[in-house]
Amino acid sequence: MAYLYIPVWFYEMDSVMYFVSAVFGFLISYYAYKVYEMSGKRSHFALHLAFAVLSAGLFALSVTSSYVYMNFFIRRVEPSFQTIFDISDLGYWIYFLASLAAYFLLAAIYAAEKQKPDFVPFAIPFWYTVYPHFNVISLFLLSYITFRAGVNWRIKRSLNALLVTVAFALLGAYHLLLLMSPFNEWSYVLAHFSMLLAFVCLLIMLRRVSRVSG
Amino acid sequence: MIRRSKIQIYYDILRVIQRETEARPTHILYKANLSYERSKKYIDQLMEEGFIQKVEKKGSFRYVLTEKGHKFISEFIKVREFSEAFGLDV
Repeated sequence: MAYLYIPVWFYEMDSVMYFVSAVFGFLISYYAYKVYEMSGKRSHFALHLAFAVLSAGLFALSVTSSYVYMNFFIRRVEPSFQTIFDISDLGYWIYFLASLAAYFLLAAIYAAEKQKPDFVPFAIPFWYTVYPHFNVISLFLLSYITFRAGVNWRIKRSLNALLVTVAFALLGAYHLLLLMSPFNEWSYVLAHFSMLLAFVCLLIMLRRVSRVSG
Repeated sequence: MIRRSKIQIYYDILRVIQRETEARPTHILYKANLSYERSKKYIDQLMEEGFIQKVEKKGSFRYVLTEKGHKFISEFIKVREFSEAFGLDV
């Protein structure tokens, strides 16, 4: 992960956002596991696993980026974000691999569901798909996941389904904005707010679900 | 027609009993849309799990919900809401 333009005032704030998102993600994962214990369905276990892996990646990124920022603030060592052997890059690699695994799992869950859409839109420009970058693959997978979640919302018409759709759309926006971050430092900031908001949406959904009574 | 899962059938039976407070076996199979054999099988399972109890009233048997049965219903509703939010079957 080379050449990210991160505003200095935003240093450490992104680490906090990764940490908060990881905590919210672990909560979703925990609840999905509780659901799996009751239903015994593989799709619920896959959902649990997807959020556990995604959250673990975010947690790793939170720890490594915090370390880099602490070095900057205490020892005045500039974050490089340029080599794979750099600790911050290691965090990014762990996160990207974990997030890709999570998105593949989520896409597989939707692909295996009986409720198939009539068509699959390819909203991503072709030149994006030939650019070998984790964010592009994530964006591609998330566009499919968001579309399937959107189809579900159109059928169910429930606020919870809408919150899940918006959350996946915001995660997609996060990756899209990260792609633009080499050109504009604000993209990096907006990307992280988008990611945090995605997990807040999921937390609101979880809160609403846990308050439902028979 | 979508095939119901085991916990969905459990919920359907328990919901019938909850609505009627005390439900007869014939009411359960009719309202939960089950054959005699299947309703007997699931009622036996629910008794074994401690979700329902058999009580005798005026010479006939009826089923009532236990505390565990009430808890199952409220948990199932949450599970269904969560699954539906992601578009998954329960």
